[in-house]
Amino acid sequence: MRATVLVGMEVHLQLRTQSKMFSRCPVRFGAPPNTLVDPVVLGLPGALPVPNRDAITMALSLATALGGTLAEVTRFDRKNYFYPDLPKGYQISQYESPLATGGAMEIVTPEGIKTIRLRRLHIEEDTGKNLHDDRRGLSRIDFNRAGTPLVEIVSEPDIATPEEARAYLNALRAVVSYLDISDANMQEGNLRCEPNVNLHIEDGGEPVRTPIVEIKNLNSVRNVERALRHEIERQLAEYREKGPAVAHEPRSTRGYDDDRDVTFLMRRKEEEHDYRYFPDPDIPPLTITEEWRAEAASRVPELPDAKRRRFMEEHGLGAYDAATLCRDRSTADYFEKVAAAGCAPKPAANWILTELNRHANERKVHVAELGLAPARLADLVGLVERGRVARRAAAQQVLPEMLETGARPESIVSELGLGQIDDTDVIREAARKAIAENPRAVADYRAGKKKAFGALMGFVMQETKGKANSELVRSVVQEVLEES
Amino acid sequence: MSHLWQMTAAALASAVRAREVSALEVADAHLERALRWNDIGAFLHLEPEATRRRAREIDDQLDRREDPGPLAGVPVALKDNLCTRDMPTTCGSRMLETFVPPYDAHVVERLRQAGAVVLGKTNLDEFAMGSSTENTAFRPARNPHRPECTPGGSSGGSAAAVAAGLAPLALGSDTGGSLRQPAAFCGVVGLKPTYGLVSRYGLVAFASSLDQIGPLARSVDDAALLLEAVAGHDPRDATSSRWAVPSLRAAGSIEGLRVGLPREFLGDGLAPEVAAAVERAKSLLVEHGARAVDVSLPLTRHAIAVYYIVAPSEASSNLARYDGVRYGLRTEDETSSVDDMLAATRGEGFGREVKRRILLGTFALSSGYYDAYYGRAQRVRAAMRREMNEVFEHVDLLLTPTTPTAAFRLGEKLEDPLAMYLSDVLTVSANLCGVPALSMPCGRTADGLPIGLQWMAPRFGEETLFRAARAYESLAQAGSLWPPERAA
Repeated sequence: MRATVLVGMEVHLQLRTQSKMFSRCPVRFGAPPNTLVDPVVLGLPGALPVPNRDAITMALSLATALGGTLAEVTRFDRKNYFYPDLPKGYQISQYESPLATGGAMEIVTPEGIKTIRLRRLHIEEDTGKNLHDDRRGLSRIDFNRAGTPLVEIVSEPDIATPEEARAYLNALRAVVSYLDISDANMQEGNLRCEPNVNLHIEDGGEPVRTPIVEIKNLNSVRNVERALRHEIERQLAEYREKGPAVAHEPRSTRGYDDDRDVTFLMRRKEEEHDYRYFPDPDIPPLTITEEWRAEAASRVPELPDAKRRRFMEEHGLGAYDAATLCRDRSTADYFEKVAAAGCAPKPAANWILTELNRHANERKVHVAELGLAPARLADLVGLVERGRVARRAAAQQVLPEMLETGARPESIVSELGLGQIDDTDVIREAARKAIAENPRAVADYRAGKKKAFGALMGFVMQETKGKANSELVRSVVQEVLEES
Repeated sequence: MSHLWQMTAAALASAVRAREVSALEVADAHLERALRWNDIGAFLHLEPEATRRRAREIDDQLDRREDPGPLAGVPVALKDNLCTRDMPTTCGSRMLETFVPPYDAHVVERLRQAGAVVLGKTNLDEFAMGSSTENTAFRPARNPHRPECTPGGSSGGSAAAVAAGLAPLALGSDTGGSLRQPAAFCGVVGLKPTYGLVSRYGLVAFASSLDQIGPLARSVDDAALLLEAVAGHDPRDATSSRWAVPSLRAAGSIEGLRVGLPREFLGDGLAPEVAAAVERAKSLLVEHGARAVDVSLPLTRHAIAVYYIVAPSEASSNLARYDGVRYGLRTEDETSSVDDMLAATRGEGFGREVKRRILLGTFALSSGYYDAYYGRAQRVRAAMRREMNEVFEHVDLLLTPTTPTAAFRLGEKLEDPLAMYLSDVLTVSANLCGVPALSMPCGRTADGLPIGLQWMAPRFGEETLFRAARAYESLAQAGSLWPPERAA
């Protein structure tokens, strides 16, 4: 038996606009319930929707970045259904004429780069939120989220493993972060993902297709992966139990239960709504003019893949370092500023990905948000490269002080007396002491245990409080060992 | 001097601005009249104190030598589907019986800026669905000319108020003739403007692609005055046009005007008195230099069918927001789920005609029927627009009756929805094609009921439309037809 997994992704992304999709009401996260509402958002009688041009431009930029074909004329449609968090009894979405069609995303898999084709990209409005108070048997509704602009990106079922699904989401988030159009955070719900999954099973006779299942309630990339893993197993098990007859089961929607790591049935296809889509008569069709396209395109910066390739060619970085730097646009930009300040690119990348990253992670910010001017980092790396301060001292003493006080590295080095020791006499004295006090290590070294040399070097470094020039220490220790 | 309630809006505004009469006296005269004619059911809400307060504001402005605007102190009645911040907006429905909007419709803002005094909210068919102002959760309106007859609908209250002198001006809304048919039945002037000329922001939607707010008045000039006050671009309505509204009150000649007479609007089915009145109007116009041209609009035969698919489809979606969740009626029944609450609320809140149209529209939009109904209706509608545009390459205006008959009796068509729908046959084309159309009086039947003459113009052809209507008004001396006066 051979089973091929087909996963397609539906991603909803909240755009970070000033105002809602169809009104001037402001958009914010975390405001007190029902404070970000107006007659349009609440669907009061007589209120009318007016499309938010900025939201459409953001969506056009995203579509351009993903290589989609932009519509010449796009239209909004009404998706009709009743739900308490849906104020008008319909959601304004796009059905027949989405903003863009086609396009693709590249993801990195263990087998190399893989292309995931995109089907369409369209705009819609978010709903409110139902808050259930089970203890008191009450439901409350917060309409702050209602009307927030959403972009829906639908992929073709080209994703073949849970890991690829994760890679797809991360790649999409990187593009979105570069465009600076959304926070794209799954925990906060500004990126939501509903994978569709089924299997094509070849098992002797006619190939069998399991019914497509859409999975909901996923609040992290990790859960997307776990839910898919579980769902693939479940569909396989169902096939083993029911055989080819499984193909005649209806499509369904399943929820993911995080605690138990299982998916559960929410509804079958025949229980789904007839949404009675029709063009929204309140919103005339929109012509996407040449100027508008150009404006959207001008907002598309160099994207992660292109930047990674350029960093490798222009700065001579390795693939891994380049890719890691490019995951976040502000970090990549920071690197370029450090390099532009005259710093050698490789040590610059190294410092950013190790030392700065560690501080950034501790503070839960991006590297660029540490408040360290790129030129200052270039200065520090320069001091190390020119042998003015030992790397270890630079990392452990100078950098924290720079982050703390914003002082220049030169002054910290001289204030703390960290200037590197290049005086061979001082080093030689320490080396002699090391040999005198570590007869065991000396014996080991002479017996061919090269590791013992490191211990001797470490002793010298300790004696000089880490300030000795490590290259000189190496040669001097060698020299003294040979003398004695 | 005539009574204040007999004066035109233009005359009232200039008398108020000249301090010949106070805005408060004008308001009181109309309030008093509205109470005396209360039995015709023209108003659903009057709030005399609020009205008088507003009138005093206008007088205070004049005391301070400020100009309140072109409608200084002029009372205006508003159809009760226009949102008003300080008065209920019920749409004639149980669903919104206690609803007071937190905002004013665009047209209401504009009226206040122009110095008008809102007099009250007028009666209508529920959510503007009907042609007789009988489909209501409250009380029906009556025709001031003959109380056993309907004033038409759905803007029946607005037309009756203007006809009986309860208000010099009123706003109504017109989705398939809802403003012109009552204007014709009550003997006043009513205009459905070009689609997009007046912002719909704050007009409770019935069928968004057809709805348009328009003026009702006792003279063509007064209708123009009110239209000028409320027309113009509004960024809160995406369908609002950016066309700059020209002055619509300039006099002009009809010499050489090409007046098209569409044969589909003048055939069988017209009451002989109506056909004769239109024929007389045509002769008078030709006598004074207009050129009558026979034209044809063959697709008109589909107009009612197209209308009764498009309008209910849009309505079924527009009325989905009345769910008992955020405002308006919520059932007091114990219900076990949200869906039950919603169904019970809508069952109690909507009247029969509204339910009938929601059902029709829901069916027409359903998957599997969409192409056969809604999709097809839209294609025919597009063809009708092309046909209308082509006709206007040959003529400047079209002249037709507004309705096939004069006002019918209350209850006469209530149990026969199809007959009621057919009374819109001459008016729906203007809505489907988005063109402006004006109804004005052109005589009476032997029973004393007014007959309406309809002019249609190409999109944004209001200037020509008003020029022709004004010319006819003066040639025929066809001012408003006053109903028989009653004792105080």
